[in-house]
Amino acid sequence: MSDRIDALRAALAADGSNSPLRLLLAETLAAAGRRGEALDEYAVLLRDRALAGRDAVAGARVALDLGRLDLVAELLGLAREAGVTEGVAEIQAQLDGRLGSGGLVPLGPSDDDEEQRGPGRLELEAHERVTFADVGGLAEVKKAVTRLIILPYQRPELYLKYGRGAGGGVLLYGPPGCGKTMLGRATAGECELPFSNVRIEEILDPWFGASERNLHGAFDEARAAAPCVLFLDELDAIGFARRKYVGSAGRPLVDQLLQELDGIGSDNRDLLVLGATNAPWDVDEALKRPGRFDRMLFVPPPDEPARARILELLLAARPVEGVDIGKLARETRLFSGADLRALVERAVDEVIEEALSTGGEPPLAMRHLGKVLRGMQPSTLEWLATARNHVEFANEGGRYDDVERFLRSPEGKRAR
Amino acid sequence: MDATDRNLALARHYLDIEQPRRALEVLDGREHDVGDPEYWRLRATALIAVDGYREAIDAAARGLDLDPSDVGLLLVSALAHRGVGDLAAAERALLAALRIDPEEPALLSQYALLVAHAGQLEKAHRLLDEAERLDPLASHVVHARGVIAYLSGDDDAAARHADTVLVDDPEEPGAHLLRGSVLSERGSARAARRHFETAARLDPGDAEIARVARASRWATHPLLWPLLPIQRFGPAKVWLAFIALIGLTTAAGIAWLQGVVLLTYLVFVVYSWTVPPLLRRWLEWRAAR
Repeated sequence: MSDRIDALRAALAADGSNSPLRLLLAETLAAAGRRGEALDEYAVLLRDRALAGRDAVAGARVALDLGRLDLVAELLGLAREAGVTEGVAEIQAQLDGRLGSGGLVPLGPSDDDEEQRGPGRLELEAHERVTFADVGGLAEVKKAVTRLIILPYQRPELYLKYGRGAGGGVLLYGPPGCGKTMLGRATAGECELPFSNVRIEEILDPWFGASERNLHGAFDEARAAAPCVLFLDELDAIGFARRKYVGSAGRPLVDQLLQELDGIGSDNRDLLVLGATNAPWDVDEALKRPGRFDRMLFVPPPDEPARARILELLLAARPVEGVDIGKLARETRLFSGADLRALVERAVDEVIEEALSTGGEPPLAMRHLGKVLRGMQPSTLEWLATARNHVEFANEGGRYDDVERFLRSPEGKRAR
Repeated sequence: MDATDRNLALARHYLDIEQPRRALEVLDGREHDVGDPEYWRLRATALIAVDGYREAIDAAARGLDLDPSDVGLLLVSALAHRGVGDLAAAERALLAALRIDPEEPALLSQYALLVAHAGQLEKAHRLLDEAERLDPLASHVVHARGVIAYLSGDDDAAARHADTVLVDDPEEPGAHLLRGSVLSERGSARAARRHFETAARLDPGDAEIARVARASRWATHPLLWPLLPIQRFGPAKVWLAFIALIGLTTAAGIAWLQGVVLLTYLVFVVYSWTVPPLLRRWLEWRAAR
């Protein structure tokens, strides 16, 4: 690793204006744990405005780890300008926690101080609020979430009249990168409620009993801030099917999650619980029983209008010329939102390469996007192949009928 | 506990919940200590799970450079080498592991499977005897016995071992797969299909099991019933039986019977060549609608 770093430094000494090389050096330094040096390189790239959105997010993580909050804010600003959303809100929440101005519950000090580390995340900021209008497509899913989560909260008297209270869990499932987390965030936005995102990496702790304690802490934070939307991301990782666990290490975490959802010893009123997973078949059966996550909603890859909308957003802040968004949307069947972002970013890399070799500043054009598109496959294909097996062999009670309908649709048939 | 420990714990958790790709994302994208053999062990294990055997070999080698006596790394190195068909290198890795820990039943089972695939069935049985002596209740030993019995053509023993596993765990997909394979060999296509479909239901994420289960579905279609003798006895024996019948009728001088047998033979040949692929295409087309 250090040989590589030395070589990169030598190359940069020869050509200090080579931003891709500097970025590579920054990433290599970060991977080697030399975060201070990595941040120096990110700072140079930031100064030169030579960072793409996702790279700015990566830089922001490094800056956050080192407590350089000024740089975190600048890097996040750059990421937002580039239209990147993934990871931005999470880092913003941590930044606000450090500044003591944002979330209801500050995150506490660095990861090193685990005793004081708070696992939950609550976001209340108005400027971060996302609504269904920000989520392209998914009309059916939005309608179902409105009926199951939002209306019971907004019009409790109507639902109570028929003996149905607010709360209850909804599990969003589908291929990765298709907007499940965004939808959860938008649900909170629609209700104008805080959004608490609980993720396995914030919960998991190798010390005995610490993961369960972290999970309990996350629920307690959400209860204290109720009414709020509690979003359990990667539910299969927190509530993995106990019968599949080879050892017994993960089982107590599932037991703890069941206790929290049942509100044993606690009050879960006004806690609107949403879960998301790429692997609903790996979620423990007990979690899918009534009162927990008994409603499962399939979040499919974006359809053509949704892809067009996503592409519009991704291209909005970039210099483009002659890009036919409708044609691109047609040619990117089964592409997830994340795939579309990768497509645009790789095309931008092509433009930069062209700019470096010609010395000009060409705009992003169809030829760049087309070239990248020819070498890309939708990342949803693997998920859909696995889902087909579940539909065919393990669809007890019609649990995956929505997926089956999608697979039989003209769009889904392309996955074969 | 620092961030690298947390990242390793997260990667380990993803491997425990059968999400090797997410484990790789964690190992690829975050801060990690490349001087820790555990990092390379987890990385190699995840790569094997996604069929990245060559990269897994490299990852295991990097780990073994750091700690040549790491039994876990030697085992994943062996599995990775077996994945690319390099049985000699796999054997070297397993023998190195067994020199360090000669009484580990899991290593003995893996070694038994390896030598069985190389055709050394007697040695495989001896190794499993030793593994069984060390851990009489280990299901992997029973399962390995079943696989080795199946490979050696001892269907009765393979079925017995599969049943033993299923008594202990009726939801073990591998045992259902083995049981189905034995039944399929015996021409019991319908019973085999039940086991294959059960295996696919229990482990739908396994593309190979799903493929076998789908194949078993079309193999039990009524249009393929005339071909059951081929499924039961194999094509060579069936063709030999026909040739023997033709020979017998010729020797007996029964011309009309000879004609009937010849005609049946020709129809059977044409049927066996044309109907299965056509039926398969039709069923696939119908499933896609």
